[in-house]
This record gives sequence, structure tokens and C-alpha cells, in this order.
Amino acid sequence: MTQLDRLSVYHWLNAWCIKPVGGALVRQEPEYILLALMGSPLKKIMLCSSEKEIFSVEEQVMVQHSVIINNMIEDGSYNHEESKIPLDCVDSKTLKKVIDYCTHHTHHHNDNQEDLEAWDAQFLNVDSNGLYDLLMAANYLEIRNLLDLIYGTIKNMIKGKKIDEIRRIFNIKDHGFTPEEEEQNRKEYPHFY
Amino acid sequence: MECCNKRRMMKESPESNFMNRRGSSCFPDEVLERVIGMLKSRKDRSSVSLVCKEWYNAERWSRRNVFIGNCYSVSPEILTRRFPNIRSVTLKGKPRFSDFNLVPANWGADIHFWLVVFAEKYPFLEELRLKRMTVSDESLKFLARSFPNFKAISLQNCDGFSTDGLAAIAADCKNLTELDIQENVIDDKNDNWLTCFPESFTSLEVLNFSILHNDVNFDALEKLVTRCKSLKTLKLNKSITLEQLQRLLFRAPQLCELGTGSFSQELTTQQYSELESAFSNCKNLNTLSGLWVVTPQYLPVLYPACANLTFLNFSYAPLDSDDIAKLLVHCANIRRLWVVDTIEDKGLEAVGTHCPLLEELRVFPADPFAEGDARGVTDSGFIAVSQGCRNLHYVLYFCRHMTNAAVATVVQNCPDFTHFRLCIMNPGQPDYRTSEPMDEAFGAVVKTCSKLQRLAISGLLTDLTFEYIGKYAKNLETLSVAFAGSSDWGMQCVLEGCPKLRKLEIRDCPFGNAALLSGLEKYESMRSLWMSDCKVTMNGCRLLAKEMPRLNVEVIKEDGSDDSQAERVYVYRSVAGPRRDAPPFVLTL
Repeated sequence: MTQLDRLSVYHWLNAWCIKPVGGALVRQEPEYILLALMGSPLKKIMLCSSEKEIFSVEEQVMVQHSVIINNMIEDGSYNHEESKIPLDCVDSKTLKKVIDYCTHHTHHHNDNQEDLEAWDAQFLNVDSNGLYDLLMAANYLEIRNLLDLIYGTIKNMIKGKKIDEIRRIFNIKDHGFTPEEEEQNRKEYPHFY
Repeated sequence: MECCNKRRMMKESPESNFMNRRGSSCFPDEVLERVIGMLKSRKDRSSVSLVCKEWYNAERWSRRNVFIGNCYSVSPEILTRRFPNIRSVTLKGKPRFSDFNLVPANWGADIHFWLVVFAEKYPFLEELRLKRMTVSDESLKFLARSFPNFKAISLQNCDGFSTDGLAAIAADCKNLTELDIQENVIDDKNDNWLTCFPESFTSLEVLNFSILHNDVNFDALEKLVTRCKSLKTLKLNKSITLEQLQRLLFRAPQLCELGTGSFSQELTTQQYSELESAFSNCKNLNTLSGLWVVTPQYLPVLYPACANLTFLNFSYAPLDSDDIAKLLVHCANIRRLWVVDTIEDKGLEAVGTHCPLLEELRVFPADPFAEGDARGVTDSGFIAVSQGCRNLHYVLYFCRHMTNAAVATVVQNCPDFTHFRLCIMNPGQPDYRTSEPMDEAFGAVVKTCSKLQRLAISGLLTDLTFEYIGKYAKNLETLSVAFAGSSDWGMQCVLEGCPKLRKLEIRDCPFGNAALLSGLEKYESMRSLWMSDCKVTMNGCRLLAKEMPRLNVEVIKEDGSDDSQAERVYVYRSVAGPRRDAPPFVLTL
């Protein structure tokens, strides 16, 4: 079976297996169905972290979420048999989390809104370093929904907080205002601090 | 394969994170702009700009709306320098007490030199909202010519223009969606300004000309309403008859907000039923106002439209208690209600009974200067409303007398007040049952209502009221005081005790220089202070001006008054320095 045939069968199966069948949602992992029918592995791609660790992930998953990876696959610059995509900006820990996010959202996109939001909330329950790394990775890979999620979280870290607390959360040690400017700000907006 | 080099963003090295050695925020520009763009409120935006220089810069580039509470606190040059991309400007001019004729004509707050700068720096300006500014016809014509994308103009309590200016807006603003003229002093020259909207013009969504007293060209109005399919708000003036109203409603059943014009005409049975039918068809009406002159027997035509109403503005409709009671039976969803005190306590009982969702109540006096046995509303009406409407958080209540006990009961029933404005119309009026000062009433308000932002006090009040305010009103932002207090100590308590105070307006109180000067440090964190007919002298004002160079200390001088007294003092912070346009009777110290 050619690569193209495999891909089209994969897509058909994937579509089939997440539609309701006889009133119930059939949640079969596509690779098992395919294995059962074809005996060959599902289309995977290789991502390589900055620490040179290789992560194998379903092409479908990454193509759905990352504009960058989608473009690479489409323009043919990624050769399935040989290539791996080096992501020098993203460390292993972060890459694993990004893959987790994309995989969950692909396989669970029919879940109800509340469950998805709850999952997202616990997914983002990381320290500020972790959040920053995720933000950088999502920005580079252009994963829109993850980016929006993180932007919203950062917004909530700012909204309604006092200035001194915001500086502490974001570890802003040098605010960059002159001493006169800072003093004047504190005089004009005392209850913001 | 290239990775990070392709992206434009990274100012820091890839290994950096929030724990940055240099300590500055290390978000890429677009991330910062994106996050800041998600913050809409003024408070959050101000907050962001104070965190660090980098955030200040990202915020200023992304700001689209700006609100300036005092037009003299900043100059248009400084504003446009800081915020290069503004699309919507809100400006407030004269001090609020100008509404009570305490500010002479030609005091200032002219919009024109702002518009000249905006024409150059904000050519894509879309919205202008002005309150208590002077706006000339020339300015309106200039505006109409200078901003091709202009969409919305709202003028509230402004003066200096005529219907000629409105004609220019109508003729030249091709993308206009909003023309909102409220409570202005306007020279109503002709009825033809409505004909200036071109035949091809269809974008209007808001039209409010309720304040004009002359007839308008009804034919032009009807055609305009017919072709503007997105019209949501239509507020008509007194000249529109019931029959004309029916015709307009027939053309615009999609309206959400309606100002009815007068509500008085002899109607045939046929006309009555057509009008009733027109109101039935308005399924989206949530706001009703007008009824400038009311024929009560026609009020039932409104009933079919009442179920969805959330805001009823009858501040010009002198209804009696029976009329209002019969109407309110149908208005279970009302959140905001403005009425005249002709409805009396019995009318307020009906409010308490039929409007459990009420959040805001304003009761205006039909005749504030009436003497003798004038009726109106009293303490019992106030209590009745508070018993039925537990969600009340905004009240403006004009009455002739009140008791401490009633106010205490009201705030007990409704502890969530954010705005409490009680206006006992006779100055220095004590509790009419006990003859004591009204100190305990306002003490109860500030002790119980921890969210209180705005307070207006009245009646016979000693320094004790101000002690209570200073001690308990920790969220208070605006305070209006008239004919109250015993000594400087009162004003001092407020200045020292209320951390969030922004606006303080005082008239006819025994506060002098010691009180004025006790707020030295405070005034820089406030928008403004107004003191008229108090005991402040020119020397006191000069001292304040000398100590606090970043404040503008202005005295309005009347002819023939004592040179050493400062009858009207206006103090405000400003980055623009002293006014360049002050008239001769305004002395900047």
C-alpha cells in the first residue's frame, strides 16, 4: 500500500471512529483498527527536542494544531521515512506537554465544554517557568488554541492585582521608570500599589 | 532546520524565562500586545501601564479608547503623543456644579483645539463622547469634514451649538451610526437638519434628539427611520404626536430603546388600536422614556411592550400613584426606574410590590422650589421600596424631609449600595421626628454599605457625619456636600480617611484654609476638588498652589466681591500646566 493510500484510509477511519455509531460514540484508537486491517503502523512523525530527545506523535494530531508543522507536511519538506523535525527552542519537558495538549484535544474534541475546560485548567497548573516555556513553544509552533488559552491565563494573572504583586509574579525587578516617574505614579495612583 | 531565527520575537535568549537575570519582563512584543489587548477596563489598562516601562509602551500602542475625566488635566498634544492609535475619545469638561449655575458662562472646556489636534494625529477617529463641554457649530462642521471614518457622537450637558451643527454632521458623516444629543443647551434654529441626511445614508443605529423643542421635519424623519434598518435607539422630541409615533413604530419594530416624544393627543378608537398594535409588535423594546406630556388614559397602549422592559425613564412624566401602579404591574423585569415624585409614597409602594429585580431608582422633584404643603415622597416610600427591592444598589432620592431611622432601615434591607444620593431639599433640615441632625443616617449608610462608591449627603449635618465617612467609607470615590459640617475637622476627616477619593465637591460649608490645606498630599491622587461659598481665602489658595506645583488652583472671581475671599475654588491635578485659555474671571494661582 502506498503512503498516500495509507493516509487516505487513515483519515477515513479516523472520521468513522469518532462519529456516533448506533447511538453511542465509538472510541477506538485509529491505530488499532488500522493495525487490525492492514498490519502496518499509523502515520507518525518525529519531533526532536532541544535536548535531542525524539518524540513520536501522530501526524494527524500535530497537523490539526500546529500551523508550522502543517505547512511543513504540506509543502513536502518533511520526509516520513527519514526526517525528524528539530525543535531547538523547545525542551523535552515542554514538548511532551505540547504533544499531550494536542493529542488530548484531537481525541477528545467531542467532549462537552465543561470537561474540556477542566482538563485545560489542570493542564495549565504549572509554575510560571513552565507557563513561559509553553507560551514560547505554542508561539513558535503556532498552536492557536493553546496560545489563546495561555494568553487568557496570563491576563488573569494581571487583572485586578496590585502593581507590586504583578511585579512579583512576573519577576520584574527593574521596572524601568526613573525614580521621579515611579514616585509620581505612586502619588497619583496610590491604591494601585 | 531553522528554528528560532525565523521568528521575529525573541528579545531574550531561548533559555530565559520569567526568572530573568536582568529582571525586565521578557515577553515578546506580540505576546505582550495580545495579552494587554485582552484587558478592556480602564483600571486594568492603567494598572498595566504602571508595572514597568516595557508594559507601559506596549499598552500605549494598543490603546483604542481613552477617557479623560477632566479636559484640563492633560493637553491634546500630550495625549496624542502617548496614545498614537486612538479611535474613541470621551472627554468631560466643566465641574459638575455647573449644572447648578455655579460656573459662569464662557468658563471654558471648548472642544475646538482638541479637534484640531485630533484631525492631524487621529485621522481615523470614530467616536467622540463629550460631557459638559462647549461645542460650537464651527467645531461640529470641522469634525464632519475632518474624520472620514467618523461613526458616533454623543453630547451630554454641552452648550454652544445649534441645529446648524447637527445639519453638518448629518450631511457629511457618511458612516454615522450614532447621533445622541442629551440635556444640552442648544439653539434650535430650524426643522431642516434632518433633511440633510442623504438619501443613500442608511447606517444610523442611535438617534436621540429628545431635547430639541421645535418641530422637526416629520417626512424626513419617517424616511430616515424607514431606510435605516439597523436603528436600535430612537428618542423623539416633544413635537412628535401619538399618531406620528405610531407611524414610526410601524417602520421600526426592531427598536430596543424608544423615547416617545409627548404622549398626548386626541386619538380616535381606530388610532388608539393602531398604536396599541404598534407597541405589541415591538418585541425588542428594553428601554422606554419620554412621555413629556402624558394623557394617562392612553398609558395602556404601552402594556404589551412592558414585559421585557428593563429601563423605564419617566423623569419627565408627571404620573400619579394610580397611573404608575397600573403600569408597573406589567413591568416585572425592570432594573432601572426614573420617576417624578408626583407618584408619592403610594407609587413607591407599588414599585416595591411589582419590581423585585429593581437595581436603580431615581426620584426627581416635580417642583423643587415649592413651599408650604408640597407633597412628594417621604421616608415611608423609601422604606417601602427597600423592602420589596433587595437588589437596589443605586438611589437618587429627592425629598423634603427624612428620618435617621428610615435611612438605617433602608440600608439594612439593601446593604449593597454603590451609589447613595439623598437630597433633602431644604438645606439644614433635621430628622423631622426627632429634630436631631441626620448624622446617624449617613453613619448607617457608610457602616453598612462597604461597596459604596458615590455619596451625596444633605440635611442638618455636623462633623460627626464626616468622621463616619472618613472612618468607614473605604471605597468611596465621589462625595457631594452642601450646607453641612461644623468645622474644618469635618473635611479633614474625609481627606485623611478615604483612600480612594477622586472627586470632592462642596458648597456652602464652614470649611476654611486649614481644611483645604489638610489635603495637600491627597489632591494629587484625586481628579478634582470644588469648593464654593466656604470659608477659604485667597491666601490659603496661594499657599496650596505654592506647595503643590503639579496642581492647578483656580479661583473664579465675581465682580464686586471681597478680594481676600475665594468664593469658588477649583483644584485639580494636571500634566498640562496652567490653562492657556482661562477667561479673565478665572485666576490661576
